[in-house]
Amino acid sequence: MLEIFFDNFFKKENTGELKFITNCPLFSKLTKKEISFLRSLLHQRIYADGEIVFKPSSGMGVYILLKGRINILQGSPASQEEPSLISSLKEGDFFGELALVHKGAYRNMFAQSAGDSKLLGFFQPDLQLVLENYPLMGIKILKKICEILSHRLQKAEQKFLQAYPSQ
Amino acid sequence: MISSTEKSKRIRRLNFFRLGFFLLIFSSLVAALFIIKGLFITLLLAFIISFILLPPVNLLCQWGLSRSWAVPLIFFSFLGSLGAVLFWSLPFLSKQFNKLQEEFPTYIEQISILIGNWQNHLTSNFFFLTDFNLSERFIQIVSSLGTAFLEDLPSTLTQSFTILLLAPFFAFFMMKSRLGLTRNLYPLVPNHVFEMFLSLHYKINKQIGVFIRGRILEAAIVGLIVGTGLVILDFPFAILLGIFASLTNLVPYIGPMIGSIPVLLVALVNDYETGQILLVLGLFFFTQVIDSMVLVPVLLARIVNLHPLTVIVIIIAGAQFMGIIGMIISIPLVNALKVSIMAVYQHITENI
Repeated sequence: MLEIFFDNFFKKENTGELKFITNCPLFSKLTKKEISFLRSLLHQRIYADGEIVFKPSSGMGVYILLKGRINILQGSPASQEEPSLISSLKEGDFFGELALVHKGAYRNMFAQSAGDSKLLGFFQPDLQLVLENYPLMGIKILKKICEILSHRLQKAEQKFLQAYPSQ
Repeated sequence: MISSTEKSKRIRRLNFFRLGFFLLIFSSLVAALFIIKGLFITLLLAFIISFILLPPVNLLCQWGLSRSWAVPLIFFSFLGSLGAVLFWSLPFLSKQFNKLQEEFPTYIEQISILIGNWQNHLTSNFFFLTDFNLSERFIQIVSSLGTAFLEDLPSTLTQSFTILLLAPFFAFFMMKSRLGLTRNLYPLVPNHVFEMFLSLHYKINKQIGVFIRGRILEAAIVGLIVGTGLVILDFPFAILLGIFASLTNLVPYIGPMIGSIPVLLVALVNDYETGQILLVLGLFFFTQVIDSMVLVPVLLARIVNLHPLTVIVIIIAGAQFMGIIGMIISIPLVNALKVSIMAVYQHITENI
């Protein structure tokens, strides 16, 4: 009863983004209740065409792309040379997840919005809040990050072995 | 197609405007806090209540209770227990208070006689101290303070009544919106400083939380030690003096000294023997040792350390701007300012 009253009192209009959140591998293990708490934590940010989402050596968390397109580029946004495109992300993709546990990850890459785009951000302080208040939920997210990390490490190892087969 | 330099120029203009707009809104909110009378103290009290009650609320939430139930449960049991404590302790307190009211004039008289004696002693020993009258000045100061207090009392009471009514109301909604009401400002923060702002907000919140909780716990323990000690020594007005000592203890360094003054005066007026006075002094000394060697390191260690001299300068500045409340809250405010300046500096130097 009280729940209904308060939910109406603090109603939020978020439609459609729920699908993107539940589809994000980072949050795939969370229960419905945990997802609803997570939604209250996420920050919706709107970026203009060409705006930088994060620069090299900044970055404090993961972004989920709700609308628009984000280019991941190598180089510096300030330098004269044209930066080279690493990848182009589409709706539902996420990036910057390593910065959740490592401030200043992606040392030589930056993310730039191509066209207007809408992002959902989840940052280190938010993860800290989750860990302090709902440790189990925080562990689920951290475990997922570890999985992603080890997956990447494996891939890198394979590439290394292909490049230097003798070692 | 627009050239990339033109695009980046447009974004720079946009960011500049967003930052200006955000700073305008933010500073007008801060200004409103100081301009609207009583709002600051109401919010401060609400903050204090919510910071005390948040840990048990969060604990209940971790055990699976929904927040809509946990907040009212903790909130009303807090109000209930507060009321019970007040109801239970009010007879004792009012007895001591009435006694104080009765004996206050004789205390003033006695103290002025004491001061007169000191003055005679001084003037007989130092020939140049001839034309001042300490006891008369003392009575002047005390009577002017007393009339000021009595004249202000009605307005202070009505003001504190609204504050006391409003603060729990504010606190309830602060706790209800589990992430804090200041979060409503986030959409206004421009993108290029958002991550910095977020981590800053988190750090400052954390520090102020630790500070408020730590200080209140510290004051309560100090008051308990002093109060019990004085009761054991069978000292007059023991509980009132204990409460006074716990309140003054909120002001670092200077507070404990002020807290011990009325105790010493009461002892002197009642013609306590030197041994008894030393015992009372020993109690205060013991409390300070406990406070600075146990309570402060355990409760307040996580706060950015400031040099003692800096602390005293900050307290003086706080007293100048906001009186007694300024003396108590200036330290966390300066700490928050320090953290903010460091973060902004780092952000600027990293992005040049």
